[in-house]
Amino acid sequence: METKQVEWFSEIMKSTETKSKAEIPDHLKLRLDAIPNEYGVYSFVFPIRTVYMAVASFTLLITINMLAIRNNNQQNKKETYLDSEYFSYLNQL
Amino acid sequence: MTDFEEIEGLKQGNERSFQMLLDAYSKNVYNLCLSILQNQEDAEDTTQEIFIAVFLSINEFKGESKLHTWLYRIAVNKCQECIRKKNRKKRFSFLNRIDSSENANLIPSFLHPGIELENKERASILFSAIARLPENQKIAFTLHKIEGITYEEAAITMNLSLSSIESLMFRAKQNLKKTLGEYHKNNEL
Repeated sequence: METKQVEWFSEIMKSTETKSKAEIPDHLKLRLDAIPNEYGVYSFVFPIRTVYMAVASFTLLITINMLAIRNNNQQNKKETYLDSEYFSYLNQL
Repeated sequence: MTDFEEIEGLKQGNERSFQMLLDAYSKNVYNLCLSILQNQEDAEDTTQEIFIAVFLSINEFKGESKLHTWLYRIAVNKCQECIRKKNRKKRFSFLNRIDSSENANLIPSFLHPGIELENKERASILFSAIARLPENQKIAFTLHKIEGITYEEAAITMNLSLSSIESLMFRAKQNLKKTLGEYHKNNEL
């Protein structure tokens, strides 16, 4: 029984020894041949994630700038109002 | 054309050099993927991914190893990625979990197109047993026993030492003996 199992195991292990190389299917050959055209220098495409990240960064940058400008304008207005009030009070003296 | 000329042409984006690379290695790479992944569709997709990676990263090849060893290393990495992706999908799929518990009895399912007709059944049992090995043992065993790559090249390809490959092979054989022994007992062959 044991010998039979050993023989069977050895046959199983030998079953791939005479394996030949499988041929590449034609559709895969076409896909491989197309790689230089699809991924060549002139057809380089940015990954969509990079594009989204760039757009998000620009949007954030513009928003921060706009908030900063608005804040600055408001502060300037406030300062102008306080200055004019102060000076007008001095004028009255 | 020598390896060196081929690489120089590839680095310059030469389409003819890429075609020569495909002629020389695509069949080997496809067969390696087929043996590791044991699924024709996955092997086809992974082969394409490997050659895209080679085309895009050929400038990173420094010539410290042979071109085909570098190519096999990319192939093994891509196959491992594919296996992990599939395992992740399986882990999150309740139905697949039930399915895999039913498959615990070693059901031969993969028929390698390069195996002779008389050996198909036996090879199918062997491939099923290989599929149940831990990832590194599976790859080492497939590289050496199925694809005929030497221990030295397998060590470079898997980025491991020679002794690690020997140990992986030893454990793979032990595990295969155990799995196939159980199969033999259960099926009373």
